[in-house]
Amino acid sequence: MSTTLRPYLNAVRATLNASMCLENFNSQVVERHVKPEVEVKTSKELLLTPLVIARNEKEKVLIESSINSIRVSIAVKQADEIEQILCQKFMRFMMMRAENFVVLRRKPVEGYDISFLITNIHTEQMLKHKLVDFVIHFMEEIDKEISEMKLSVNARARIVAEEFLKKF
Amino acid sequence: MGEVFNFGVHPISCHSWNHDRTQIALSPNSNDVLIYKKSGKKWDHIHTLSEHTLKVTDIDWAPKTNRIVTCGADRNAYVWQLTNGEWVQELVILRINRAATYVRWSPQEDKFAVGSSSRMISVCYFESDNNWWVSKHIKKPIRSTIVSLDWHPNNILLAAGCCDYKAYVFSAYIKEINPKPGPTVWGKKMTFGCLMQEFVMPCTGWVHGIAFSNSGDCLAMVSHGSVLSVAKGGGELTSIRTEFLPFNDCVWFGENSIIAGGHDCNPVLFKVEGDCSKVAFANKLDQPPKGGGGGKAVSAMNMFKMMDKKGTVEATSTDLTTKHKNAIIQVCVYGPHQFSTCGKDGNVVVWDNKSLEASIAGLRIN
Amino acid sequence: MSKNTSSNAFRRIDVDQYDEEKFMDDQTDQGDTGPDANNVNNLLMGGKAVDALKACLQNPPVRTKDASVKEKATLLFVRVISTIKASEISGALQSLSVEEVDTIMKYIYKGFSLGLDGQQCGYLLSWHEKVAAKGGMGCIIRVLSDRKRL
Repeated sequence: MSTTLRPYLNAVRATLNASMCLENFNSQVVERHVKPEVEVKTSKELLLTPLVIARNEKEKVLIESSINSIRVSIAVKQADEIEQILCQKFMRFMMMRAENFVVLRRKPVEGYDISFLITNIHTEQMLKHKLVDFVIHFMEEIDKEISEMKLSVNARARIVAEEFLKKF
Repeated sequence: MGEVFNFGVHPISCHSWNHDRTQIALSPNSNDVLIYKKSGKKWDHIHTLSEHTLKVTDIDWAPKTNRIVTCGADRNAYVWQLTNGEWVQELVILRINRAATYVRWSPQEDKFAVGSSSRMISVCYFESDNNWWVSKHIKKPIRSTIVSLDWHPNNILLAAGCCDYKAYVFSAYIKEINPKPGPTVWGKKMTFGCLMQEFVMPCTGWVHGIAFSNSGDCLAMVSHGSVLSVAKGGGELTSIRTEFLPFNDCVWFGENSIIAGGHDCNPVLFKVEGDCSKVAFANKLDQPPKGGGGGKAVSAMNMFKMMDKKGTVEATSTDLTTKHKNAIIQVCVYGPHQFSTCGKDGNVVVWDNKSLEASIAGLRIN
Repeated sequence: MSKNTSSNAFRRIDVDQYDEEKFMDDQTDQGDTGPDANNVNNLLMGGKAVDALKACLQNPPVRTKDASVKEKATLLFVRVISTIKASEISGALQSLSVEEVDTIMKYIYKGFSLGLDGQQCGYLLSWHEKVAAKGGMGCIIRVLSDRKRL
């Protein structure tokens, strides 16, 4: 399975590079406002085709783009129940601190585990290729962290069980 | 090749030069317009025009009459005149109810056109009885925000690029101030607001940049599908699907060369042949100078610099080698053989065609 | 105070849908049927995988609203690419025009969205890499911006 990780991340990187061509766009619907068009979706001509990149049935990335904003949603690999719980807790932890991440969305899009909202303001303040690097790095690290946490949970459970059963 | 002028860390959303290129008016992505004067190699900030209450979206400096027109997201536009060393604004009645996006003086500087998010173009001219600028609207058949405009050299025809995937050529003939125009390749009937021709972009992209050639017979359009299209008046659209990221703006040099700049941070030259029947990619213009480099001493110094700054030994290859470090927003003609680009990185770069031709083999911009 | 409107349903009407000036997708269902499946299958049986690929790229069902036609065409495409060996991909791409490369990219992304298993996604990923190398960023951009979607 790891043989598809590199091509998967490369495909996501290329698609992000292409979708992150954002520019400032004042709202057509409300005067004097600027809204991220991918979230409000009021004008169909400003939205681009949503793209999915999938590694298998469970792991995929949804990229929805528009003229001034892009939404990236990631579905993380969750092989068993314990990984599901760990993933959910970890994502919730990060989403509650979304301001510190700047580009993180407080709620994931339906069907995915975590979402980013990147607007033209972010691409003006930060370099686009660095933003793409960040998202890819995030995807790599998430899998590693969840595996590590699962190992440590299992190790602790084993120690606790041993101690407990010594009584008997 | 390209002289880089840095104006801070903020993106430069728009820029415009005065008639002899000694002064530049630009907006650092804010509500103000800053005017800089050239002194030697540096730029001194001499004026600030602050009247807009929201971001300034475009600036145009009329070379002959020395007037500046600015438009902003606050639905207003102002015309500024230099009186007694200070820039004083005049009121413009645009009558739009959404943000203004683009503004251009006409070639004879007696009127200007403003594109807006309210799906219309306002063509404004001066009414001396009331001492203000009044506007006439072009509405049909525009269906979305206008993002780019260009005037035909005959001072009457106006090309507009819109987010409804179309490029339009309208007549902006104002009978109060313009003499009756002669026929052109674009058509004979030229009442105000008459649609001369419309083009649908292949791969339906938003038309970020539009430009008439110097004679006015050909029109170039760059759209979001990374497609460059050209058409002659009354003719069909010819386009080239490029492999680059989308372009934001384009300019013509002569009747055969188009230079476009965009999200690749690299201006690209395209060649047009056979009366707009063929378009081909020619060269990327920002090529790093090839050469042996500074030798081993420089690379050792680089290595320690890298270790100090980033904690790594190898130089990261993700840094851009182009002069612009972030997307190019606007491309302007600077002189008969020069053009300038402004970008999201706060830089304005002036490119010289002659030195580009000298440094890149086989390049001809004419 | 007389209450002549007891229902507040008028508050929930989406006024913007009645705006005549708003952008309308002027795409009517033109009944695209997709590539000729029999032709493609025959070519595959005959071992002519590259010709099958070319045949598969004819008539992409972009103008129809019928999702099953698009799904069928995409599954056919995935079958074709799974028969072409990895070393032959670049050779197969050499002979294609810019429009055909763009069509391949559209099929690849549509294939990803169908929720296929790991092995088929693996084929799509390796093809994505090669097609992106040939068509550049512009190829991916055109999948994003083209309203004639699969």
